[in-house]
Amino acid sequence: MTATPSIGADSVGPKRSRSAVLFSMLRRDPVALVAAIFLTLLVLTAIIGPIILSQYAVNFDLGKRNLPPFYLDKGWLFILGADSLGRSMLARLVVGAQLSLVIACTAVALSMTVGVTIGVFTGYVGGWQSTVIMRLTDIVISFPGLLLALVVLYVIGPSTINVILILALGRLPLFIRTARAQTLELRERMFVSAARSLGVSTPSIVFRHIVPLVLPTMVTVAAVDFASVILAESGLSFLGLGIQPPAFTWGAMVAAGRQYLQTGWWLTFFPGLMIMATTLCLNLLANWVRTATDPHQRWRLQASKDRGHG
Amino acid sequence: MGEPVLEIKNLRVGFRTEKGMLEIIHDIDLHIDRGETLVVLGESGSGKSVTASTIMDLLDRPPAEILSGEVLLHGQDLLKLSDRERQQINGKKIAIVFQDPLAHLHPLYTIGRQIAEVLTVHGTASGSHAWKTAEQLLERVGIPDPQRRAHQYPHQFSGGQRQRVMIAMALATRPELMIADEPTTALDVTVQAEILSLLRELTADFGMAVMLITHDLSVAANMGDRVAVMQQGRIVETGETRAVFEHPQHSYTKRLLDARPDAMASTKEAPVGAPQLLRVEHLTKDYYIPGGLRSALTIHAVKDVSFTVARGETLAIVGESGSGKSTVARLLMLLDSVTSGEIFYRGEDLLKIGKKAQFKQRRRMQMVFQDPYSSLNPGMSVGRIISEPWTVHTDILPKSRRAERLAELLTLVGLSPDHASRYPHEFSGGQRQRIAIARALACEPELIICDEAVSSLDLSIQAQMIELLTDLRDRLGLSYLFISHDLHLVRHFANRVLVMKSGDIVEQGQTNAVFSRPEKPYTKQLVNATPRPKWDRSLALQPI
Repeated sequence: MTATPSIGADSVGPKRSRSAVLFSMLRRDPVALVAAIFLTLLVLTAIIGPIILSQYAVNFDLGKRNLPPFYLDKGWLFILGADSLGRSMLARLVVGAQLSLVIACTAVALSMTVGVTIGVFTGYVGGWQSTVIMRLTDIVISFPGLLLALVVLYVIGPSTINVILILALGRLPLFIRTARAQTLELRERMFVSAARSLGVSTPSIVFRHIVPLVLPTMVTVAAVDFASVILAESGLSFLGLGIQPPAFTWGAMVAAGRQYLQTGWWLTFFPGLMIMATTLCLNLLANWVRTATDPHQRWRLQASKDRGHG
Repeated sequence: MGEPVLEIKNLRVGFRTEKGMLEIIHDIDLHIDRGETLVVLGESGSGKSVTASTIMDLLDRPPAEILSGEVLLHGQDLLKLSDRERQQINGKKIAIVFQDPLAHLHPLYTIGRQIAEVLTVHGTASGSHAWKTAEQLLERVGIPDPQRRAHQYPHQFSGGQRQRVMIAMALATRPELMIADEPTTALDVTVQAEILSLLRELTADFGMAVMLITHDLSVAANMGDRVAVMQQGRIVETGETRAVFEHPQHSYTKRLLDARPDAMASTKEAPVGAPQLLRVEHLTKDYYIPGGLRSALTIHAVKDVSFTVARGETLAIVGESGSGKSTVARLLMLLDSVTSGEIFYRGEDLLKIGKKAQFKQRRRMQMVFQDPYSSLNPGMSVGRIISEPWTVHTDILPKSRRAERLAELLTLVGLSPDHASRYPHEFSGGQRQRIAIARALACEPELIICDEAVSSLDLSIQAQMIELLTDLRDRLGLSYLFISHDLHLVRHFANRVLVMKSGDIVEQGQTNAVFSRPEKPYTKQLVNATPRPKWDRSLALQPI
């Protein structure tokens, strides 16, 4: 370490940008690195893929109905087989990725942002407002999520935006509760009293002291939640109140393949595999994020020459 | 005294870590004779508790490993026994009393049942006979009305009473050796005095050997027949307590004894004619606890407290837990709302001036908190922690001067400028408290409130901190409001002292006067409760 102190310098090594430090920490954890590469490729595919493949995802050819996978004689597009209408599974997985990811990411991001805001507010400020919010949360929890979604979507009509909103609402209590519980604990710590005695304003305490310590947990919760959101969305699609055809998602593909489980396992297997792989990678990466943002744990990801004496 | 009850020979204990075996007990030898009290004295990390755990077979193995040595109870090596044979010895022949009785008593069983269980497990007594014995034991350790109290649960007992219950449990099987691991550390001085005298009485009655583990020199001098001083896993000195205390041989023992507040130079006289900085009048704080179906409860935490602090002066507030001394600090820092009363800072009533003026005044008065482990945000680097005041009070320093000032402050409190990029968890308790002091100093305050700021630190670290505070006081002309339960410390650091008991000020005056001629019975009790060396028969405290 150099002898020149810099105010607010979080990086451990001298003269290295934050992203370079993060990248070197990612390299120290091969599992997280693989997960990050997979997710990057997935996002790139979801952005670029549909431009090339959208035609093949909807062209049906009854001659290729339920074509089994791993045969190249019908062209590389059919390496993963074809669905019940003879459409290329590969093309559909690529095209379906876009909407699946958009819906799940938006819904999770939305419920996380709103949930953390409300949770931290109710936890830190308290008062009757927070009691009201917490009781409303209890109502949302005690009401079956799918039923709520059915009723609301039936009334306001199924559209991508509405599906996202209703999924976000359903997951909200989880974030509120977790963020609130952690805030309640952090609020009592002495460093909050210390900040108050310095004259730090309440918003600054919340943003500078509380939120940075709450976020790592929330990222982990969000990663786990991602899978539930994809599955909930597929349930809605299955009931006809989710994404409306011709648009489709991985969840909808699993739902549509369900009736061919005995004759064409690949119709459900591949979209299911994608959901699982995506969620797994998110979890692994979230785990890494938590370690990397915790000064106490961070040394595990740093080369020994970078290490303090911790 | 006779033959040894317990002998430890060449004991070496290590912990297996990622970097290989880390030896933490290096080849120690000690023995405890029948009826004797051996004090094992040491600071945190000296290995005294690991030694006790090894005797009781409480070490987690792995990661711990006993590398070599013998632990002999009447010549029988405890380390070679099977688990079943151990169970015959633990609790029956050797009993242990821990620092925190609440953590070692089961919250869902009555006290009587827990003591009776010790008897039944070891087959000493059973059924109603065990219960009767339990009641007798409770009576023996000074719990009034044992028939009724035996049916109560741990939470219905006070801290001192719980420790008495733990002692009763340890005595149940009439062990030959009792290990007391910091038995009075968590207790108030007056309660500590009672527990220590109980322990002394019981060892005489039962003829037990006692191994008393402590970091407190006055407890050691008060209790020990012999003392073994431990440092970093080694016994550096052992001998008759008085001989060790009066003629220490090893440099570490000498340093430890020099770190005693008594041994430190007395502070200079209070400044005469200095302007008044803080004036508190009729400060009162009530906590209101809504009772639901029962009637609501009002707790008077602070009752009509008035005092002043002059520039450059150190005023100490002493009192036991629940005396309201910390509440006073929180009220002064405006962390809690005041029920009634006035706080004048340089003649301005802090509670009446507007929010803006309050904010401006705030940085003139700063606080250092008790627990250095929770008072620093674990997610912030030391540099960010210390410079936080400047982002709040932007008028203190221009941005360009901050890096320089940060380095200055770190040097001032005895740290190094390159510590700025590290995080709190990389520092020891004493170092963290230095960081907290640097943060307070960053506000450029005139008055620093220290709320038990050095109480949780080791004696030698404590002495360094007091030295630092004294140095800062002389150099920067600071005033302190020093809140503590430790009379020794206050006696040599404060100019004036204020004694509090359950929210009231009992007595206040010049430190020397209050300590040498206490007027009120409570102050006398407090002063006399400080454990005195066994060999010191005089009742009055020695003059300073």
